[in-house]
Amino acid sequence: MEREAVILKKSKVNDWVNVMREDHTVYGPVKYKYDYHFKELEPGMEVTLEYTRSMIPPKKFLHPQEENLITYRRNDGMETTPTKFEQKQVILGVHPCDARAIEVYDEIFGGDLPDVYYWNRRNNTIIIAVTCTVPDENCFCMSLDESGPTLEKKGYDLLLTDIGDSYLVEVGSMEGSLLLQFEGLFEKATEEHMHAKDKSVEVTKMKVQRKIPDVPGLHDFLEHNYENEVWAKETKKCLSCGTCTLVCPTCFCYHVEDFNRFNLEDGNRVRIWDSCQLIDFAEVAMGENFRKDREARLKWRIYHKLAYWQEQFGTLGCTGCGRCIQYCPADIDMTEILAEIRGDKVHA
Amino acid sequence: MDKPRIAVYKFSSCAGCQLQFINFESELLDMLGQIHISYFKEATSLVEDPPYDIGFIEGSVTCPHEEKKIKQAREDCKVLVAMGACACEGCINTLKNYRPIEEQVKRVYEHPEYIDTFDKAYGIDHFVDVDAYIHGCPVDRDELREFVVATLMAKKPFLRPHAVCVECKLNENECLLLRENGLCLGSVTRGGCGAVCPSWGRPCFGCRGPNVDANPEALVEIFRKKGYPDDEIRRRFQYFSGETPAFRKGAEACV
Repeated sequence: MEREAVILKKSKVNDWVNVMREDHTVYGPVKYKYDYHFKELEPGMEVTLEYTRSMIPPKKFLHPQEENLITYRRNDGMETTPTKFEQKQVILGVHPCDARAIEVYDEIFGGDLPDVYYWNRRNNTIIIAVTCTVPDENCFCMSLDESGPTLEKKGYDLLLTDIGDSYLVEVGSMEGSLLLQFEGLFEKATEEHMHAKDKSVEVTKMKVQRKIPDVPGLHDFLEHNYENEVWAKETKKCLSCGTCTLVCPTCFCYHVEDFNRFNLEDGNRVRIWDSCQLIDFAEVAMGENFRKDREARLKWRIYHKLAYWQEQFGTLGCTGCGRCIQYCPADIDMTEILAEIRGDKVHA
Repeated sequence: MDKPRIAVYKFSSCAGCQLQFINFESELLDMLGQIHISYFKEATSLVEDPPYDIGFIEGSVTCPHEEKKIKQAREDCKVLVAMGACACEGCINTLKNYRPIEEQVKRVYEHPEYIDTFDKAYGIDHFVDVDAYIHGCPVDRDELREFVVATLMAKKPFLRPHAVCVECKLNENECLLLRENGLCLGSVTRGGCGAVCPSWGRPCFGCRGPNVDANPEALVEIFRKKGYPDDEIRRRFQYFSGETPAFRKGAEACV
């Protein structure tokens, strides 16, 4: 048996969360009125590990919606205090699509000029992924990664998989294994438990019906179809509200703003999520706007994710999580657009 | 440099926007360290003569004497700022624009013969050039501070030109349009309010007027698909900002 694994009874999940909370802030998916949201798990709160998707991806714990970068004071010179992030955090219940998106984030915020704010959080974060068991009609992870609803060996510190009345817990890192050092919570996993997992994954894979065909050919396909009339038709529906990008687990764009106080001395430099779909996104000094046209913005999101990303990072910027499809108020659906351009299926 | 002399005017309005200045409370002393109040009747009965450096105009223009007054204010102020929905778009005062004025005057006033009013209410830029707009009913205090401070520092203020949906997502609000089939104008309305209404479970009324690239026709189609009759959709577009070109388009798309 190659994989290092233990068993956690479902009835003990809350006990485990409670012991982890002693040294970490623990976040997990919680059901609200209609959607799941990643929230800090406090005593009495019920975490749900069997869920389809959260509205906002767990990326928000690594790159928050609004983050204070620097607190400053202008006197003779400039005094600045950068924000530090020192707490240890555990994100429990991260789906494979979102865990893969965090790997994409590591690329984006890494490289030659690593983003210090991101890595402060990232290095203090433990990811407890969970194999997805309830994909819906908007999921298309299988087109982007053949492991689909589960992860293979990377992208997690721990990986849970529902195998009936227990979770199989696989170890992906030393940090992860340290969270298994609690008395009386875990049991040894057997070969049988491993088989149960593999079986469960096979069943879930069959449920992921939505597809983007010929992913390797996407780049050229998109380049050849930039002027296709389908784009103009979809643009008529688009509200440019930014939802598709704000709920996207790989979208990372942000705006930096200095907010000053009335004394004109104190202030904060804050970064806030931005979106390429918004009219002000590509506007520069003197009002020039490189992507003023709504159609150019609508296309940009899809071309960036599925074509240009490959040139830049060697991967695609989409993990098939389905959020942009589910949360678009105008029913704009990237996979349908591609199908319609191909002539596979004409959407009524 | 001398502190800029500020004037705050009231036209047809509820006085809630200018109240936002007073609501700065703990920040008031710092604010008064940077600006000099020359004319602001809600705050002080002390009035200094014009000229003023910056005039903040609250309220819409609804009658002939207000037309005179706004033209005078334009002459008296170097920079003129439309503050709040009434001054920017006309706000709910424009509800009178869609019915015969005689009928309405009779309905509201015991002695309609005393009333000297226009057929329509207007945002102030119908009569004078406006240098800047701060939207909202009322204006958002963070935006008002941002505007004043950025202006004092000769910096472009951060006032969101895009839709309310952005802040709804930042707040992790569950979408009222999508989830509750709400008649929410957030996707065509200028943000900057922190999505305050949807955050409290109320669909956006569009009080801040259209966002810069609003697509009202697309939203009309979405409302129709959700089963709203055209009459109700039109009234929603005419509620707060019906006289803006974009919301007029929304209203006119309804039959």
